[in-house]
Amino acid sequence: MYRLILFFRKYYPVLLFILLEAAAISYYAHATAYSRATLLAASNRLTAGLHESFAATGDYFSLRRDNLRLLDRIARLETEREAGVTTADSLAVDSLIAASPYYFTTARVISNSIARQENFFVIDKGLRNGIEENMGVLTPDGAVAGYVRQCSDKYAVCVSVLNRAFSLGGRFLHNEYFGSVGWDGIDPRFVTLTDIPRYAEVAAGDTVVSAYSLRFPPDRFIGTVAAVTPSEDGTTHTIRLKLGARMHALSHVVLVRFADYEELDQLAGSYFTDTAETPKR
Amino acid sequence: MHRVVEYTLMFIVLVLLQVFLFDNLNLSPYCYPLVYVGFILLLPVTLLPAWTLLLGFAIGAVTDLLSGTPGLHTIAATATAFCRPLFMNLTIGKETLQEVMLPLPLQVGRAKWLQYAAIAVLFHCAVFFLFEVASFRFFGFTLLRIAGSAAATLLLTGFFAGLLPARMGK
Repeated sequence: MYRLILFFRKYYPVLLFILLEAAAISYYAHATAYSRATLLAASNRLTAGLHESFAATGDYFSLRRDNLRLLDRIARLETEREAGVTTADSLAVDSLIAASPYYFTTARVISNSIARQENFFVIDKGLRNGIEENMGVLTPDGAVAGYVRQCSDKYAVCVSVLNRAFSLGGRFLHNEYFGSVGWDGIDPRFVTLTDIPRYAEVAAGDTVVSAYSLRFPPDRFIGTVAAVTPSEDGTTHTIRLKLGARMHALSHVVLVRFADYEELDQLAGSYFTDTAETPKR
Repeated sequence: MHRVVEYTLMFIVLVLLQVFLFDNLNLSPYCYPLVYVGFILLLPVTLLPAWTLLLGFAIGAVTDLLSGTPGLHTIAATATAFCRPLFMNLTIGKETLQEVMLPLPLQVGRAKWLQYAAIAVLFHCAVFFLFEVASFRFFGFTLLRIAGSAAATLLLTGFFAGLLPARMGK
């Protein structure tokens, strides 16, 4: 017994260290993207006010740039309206005009990160303002930026494109080949498009848009092809995309809700990679 | 126990700087300073190992909680707090350690302090970023992140240690 006490007196820092470190590691190991968003939503209750005032200060410096981009966007939408065509796909246009299943709204980004492997951003609207989980998030000029993961009354936590848990269907604007878009965690300016067969013709500069997504409307800009390399098994291309959304300068966003999300997610979500019903790995 | 007020202030200031300034700076993936590690580095030399560990754990946990990272800062901070006596013995040396109260540049000498801080910061960043990627894929990229972020952290910690009033070490 005495020996045991001596042992503890001598080695208690080591034992304490093992205890604390084991607790921290086991918490980290069991954390999923979902539990991270939950944690962020909880801590946001404490920190959102301060984050918001910092974001408000930062807004002044980007006013000019944001204005120009919005004007640009308005001009383009006006042109499209006059021409009577909204997208390259005429079939999608007809169904959109009949009764749009998409509802759009805007929000301001109050905190954002790009330097980590699992990046999130927080917006200043929540349940009270009609924000719901799994709404798609676009930049003001229409590029894919992320999706809403969790809402509190006044705020919402969004999974950034720059999150290794983010995945989205993407296809080429000029042909029908499609694959899966994800981030490898390295460069915040680039994402990766996989599963494009080797016989598909791809060239640098080609545009890739969203496809077969429940969260995003079809044909939303994702990025342009920067480099094409064969995949490890040689049967598909691994394509580096220059990301359309400038994630390091995200100040305002456009949110989009797909009216039939719940229904489609319950019916088919488990077969696809970018929905809430997808089995968690 | 002494200097409780000063250390409490330092704790709060560093955590706030980390959460509200450096987490939002988004300089580049290669430069993500972890400034709160300065608190662990500057704890009194004579502090019991158990206290160092608990305080390291605490600052990591609070940073995690406020910035919404699930335990990463805690893992790194606890490990750094545990290894701190080893780093001090290796770089500053036992004789010097018996004469000083705080591991400050003015007290232990600039060169020795820089060695000590560099090793501890590098260790901290290595633990943090290796646990963050949780794989040895893109190992070169992770090494670059560790080096860049450690350099930025060291610079900021050195600056912060220089700001502390000289009377604190007496």
